[in-house]
Amino acid sequence: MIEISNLGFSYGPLAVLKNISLKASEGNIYGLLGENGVGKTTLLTLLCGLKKPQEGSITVDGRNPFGREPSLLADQFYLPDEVTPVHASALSFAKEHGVFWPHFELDKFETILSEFEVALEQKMDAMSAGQLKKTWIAFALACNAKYYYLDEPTNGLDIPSKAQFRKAVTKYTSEDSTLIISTHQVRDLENIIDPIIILDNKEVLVNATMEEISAKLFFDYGTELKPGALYLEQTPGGCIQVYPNTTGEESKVNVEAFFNTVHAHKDVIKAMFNL
Amino acid sequence: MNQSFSFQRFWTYFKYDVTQMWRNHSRAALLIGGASAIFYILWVMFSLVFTQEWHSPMVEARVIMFLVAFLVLELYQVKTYGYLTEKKAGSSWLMIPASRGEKFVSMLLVTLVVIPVLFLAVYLIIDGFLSLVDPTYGQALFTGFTGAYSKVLEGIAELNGQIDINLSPLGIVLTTLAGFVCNFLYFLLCGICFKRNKLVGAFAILFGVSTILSLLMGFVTPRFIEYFQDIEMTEELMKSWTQGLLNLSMILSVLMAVGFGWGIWRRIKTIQH
Repeated sequence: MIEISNLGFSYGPLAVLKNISLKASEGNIYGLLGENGVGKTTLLTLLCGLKKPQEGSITVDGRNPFGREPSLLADQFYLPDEVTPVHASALSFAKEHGVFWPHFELDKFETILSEFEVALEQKMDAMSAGQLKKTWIAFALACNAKYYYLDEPTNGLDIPSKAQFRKAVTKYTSEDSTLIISTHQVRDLENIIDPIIILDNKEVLVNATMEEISAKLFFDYGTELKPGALYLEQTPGGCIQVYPNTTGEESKVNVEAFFNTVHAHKDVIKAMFNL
Repeated sequence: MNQSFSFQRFWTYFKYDVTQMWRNHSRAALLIGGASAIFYILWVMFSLVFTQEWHSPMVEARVIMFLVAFLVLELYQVKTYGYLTEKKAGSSWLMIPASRGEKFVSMLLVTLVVIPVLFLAVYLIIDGFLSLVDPTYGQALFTGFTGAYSKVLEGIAELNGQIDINLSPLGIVLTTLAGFVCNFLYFLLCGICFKRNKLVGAFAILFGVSTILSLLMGFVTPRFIEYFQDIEMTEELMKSWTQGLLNLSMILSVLMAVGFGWGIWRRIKTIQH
């Protein structure tokens, strides 16, 4: 269980996160969404212990991530947006690096990497950005960690690789693993992320499951325009309208439309989700 | 799980650290270690071009070359763990599941033992090989060093006999070693503190400190001279001053080494990305 309480962080005079509180329970894939510069990467680096909270606290299973205790480091994996081009083959890298994660499986690494169509013997510093990212993703998943913090994992991946990534994440992470994935590319991940956390202007706007979102908002994909829509987006085949769900009818959540709705009606949404 | 220090985890990490060091810095290490061969080839080439005779570098030049190579090795410490300040590589290093203590001890062992031993081995083996294959090359530096050490011991014994002070050979060796340790740790510390221009930063600090010390000396020296004018310099006083200065030098070296070690530990503990 990840617990964030009244977290604050600034870069000099510029406050990025202020009074953030949230809980992330086990076995979920959280989508961390927000505009550029709202502090998604900062939050992830605070969660994994790369940064020290300036205000408030973070605990992961009761431990302080900035303590960087080996047991917690072995339970987690942080994948940054830009990964390191190691001067070694993918296989050597995995063999040498994997020994630190007690549940690391080399076979799993080889399998995922072959699904990503990256050669095991290829030198990592000679790989393209996409191949390098895929190698790190394969390594991360082979570590069998309990907590994953993935920062823009689909950046730099080609279209087939994005699908392979989704497949790998659902197939190769255990049911009790918790993933927090920050992304701008919600369409790449909308079928796997649930719940959704939306950060905006130093605060958490929403932390809700798809079920909760669907219970409170209705996503209409029809062609008929209805009054009272919180958000309307024209699409080639019609439009997407989002309005408060007053009938209790279920609908498929469109994450991008939801994100835009939240941004257009922050106070309404905050009140709706009791934040 | 022991969160502070586990020997098993340390050994795993140390092997990993040495492997990474070899992978990333072996070429530079071999280049610095192989300076004797490069120097030899250049010297012979120049002598052939300008005198048409085969001349090997004279022993004084070889000793100077060795000292220069050793100095370069000391300066190179800004680079060995310099990647810690880089966002990508530094983050990756911090996230390796080993404790700060294990990473710190491994860093010290690599810097103070693995790298110097590797350098000495490569340098002296090449030098010894040249001494074997070229009769004009003269004695290998290794045998020269053991001879030099014996001479230092003899010199100390002679000095001890002359002015009857107790200059411990072990103390001299330890002071020299503490000096090397200080230099290696200083440049390592600068390497993991400065994000850019690490060497420039290291020298800027040295320049700043030496300027302050010069100003202090300028203030203190006239008072020392006044003090010396008023007292009669006896052999007894000379002995106590010499012994005191040697002890002070050793204590300062050890204190500085401990200080730099503490600085490295603090940096590892507080570094953020």
